[in-house]
Amino acid sequence: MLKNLFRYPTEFFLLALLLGSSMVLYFVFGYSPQIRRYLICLSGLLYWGWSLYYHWRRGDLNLSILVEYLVFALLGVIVLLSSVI
Amino acid sequence: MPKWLHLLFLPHPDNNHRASLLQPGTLALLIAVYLLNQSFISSLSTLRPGILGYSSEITAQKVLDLTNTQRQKNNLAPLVYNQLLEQSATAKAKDMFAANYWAHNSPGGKVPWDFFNAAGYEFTVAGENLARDFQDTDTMMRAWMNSPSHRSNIIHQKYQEIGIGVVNGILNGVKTTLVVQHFGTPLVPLVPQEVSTGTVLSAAPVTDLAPQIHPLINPLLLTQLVGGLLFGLILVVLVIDAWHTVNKGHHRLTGSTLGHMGFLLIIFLLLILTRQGTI
Repeated sequence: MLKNLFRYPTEFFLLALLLGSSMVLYFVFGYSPQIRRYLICLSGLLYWGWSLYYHWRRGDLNLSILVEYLVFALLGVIVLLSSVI
Repeated sequence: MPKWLHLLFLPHPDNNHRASLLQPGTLALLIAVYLLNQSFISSLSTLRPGILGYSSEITAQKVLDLTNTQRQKNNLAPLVYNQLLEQSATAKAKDMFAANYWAHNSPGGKVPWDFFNAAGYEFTVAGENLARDFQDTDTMMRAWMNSPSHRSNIIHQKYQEIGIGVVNGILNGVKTTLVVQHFGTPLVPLVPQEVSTGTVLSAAPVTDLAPQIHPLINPLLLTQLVGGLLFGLILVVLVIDAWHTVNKGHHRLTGSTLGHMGFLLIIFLLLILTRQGTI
């Protein structure tokens, strides 16, 4: 697992940047549930997009992996959306 | 440990060295179960409001008590409850539901003072605090006290009276509770006797524009608890999966465990740090 982190540092840095920015923006826009909902959906989409890029770079991009990321992203988005009034 | 449990949580040759819980089919099933659970919570809130409901535990009495507690901490006299201010605060909350807005000034051009005047309250100084989506009074009061403008209304030394409107209804398609505090100092000054006895009030009832609901369990907290437990479980299984993979050196064609852990960890943090309410 850590081997991949050192082999693809740029990709994982990009992921950390995407997720970190989403988290910061989530709190910055804490006053607006509507903007929070958009941010949650965008984060899920970005995570899925990152998986495309990461596995394309690794050379093992295939349908089953994309479905796996899609399901993880959906789970995160649905659970978080239901907690934002 | 039964084999099905082992396969669900731990990597094994029979589950292709990947815990069944982390496989897309099982995760899709979890999503379906979660959505079903949310529908159940939502339906129960509507059909059996005594068990679950959207309405908050906020009452005018609690808001008054906490407001005066804050004033006493700042060596200020407690505010006297005024029925006219209660009428204007309740009218403001109802107007926000009716005109579907969330602001001090309405889209039609009404300003807070219009509600004071309509209720027949003549004042020298007046102010308004708003809050929505809070489930309990303590959290709402903390949010107000953390906001300089709201705090200054609560501990304004010139205010003598207060009226509070707590109204449940549907705003922008979302069931919620609006709380309006109207502060004022009457044009005719209060006599000292009134000030000393005025803190006793008949607590204003919560107005419901939607059916009356007194929930035993807070549905938002229940949702966060179920979601938190679900993510906690998946995160633990991911950690076990990562440990197992590193130790056994299995090569599998799956998504990045580290990536999934990062994503779920952020979602988990947002879930437990999501605060209720807007002011």
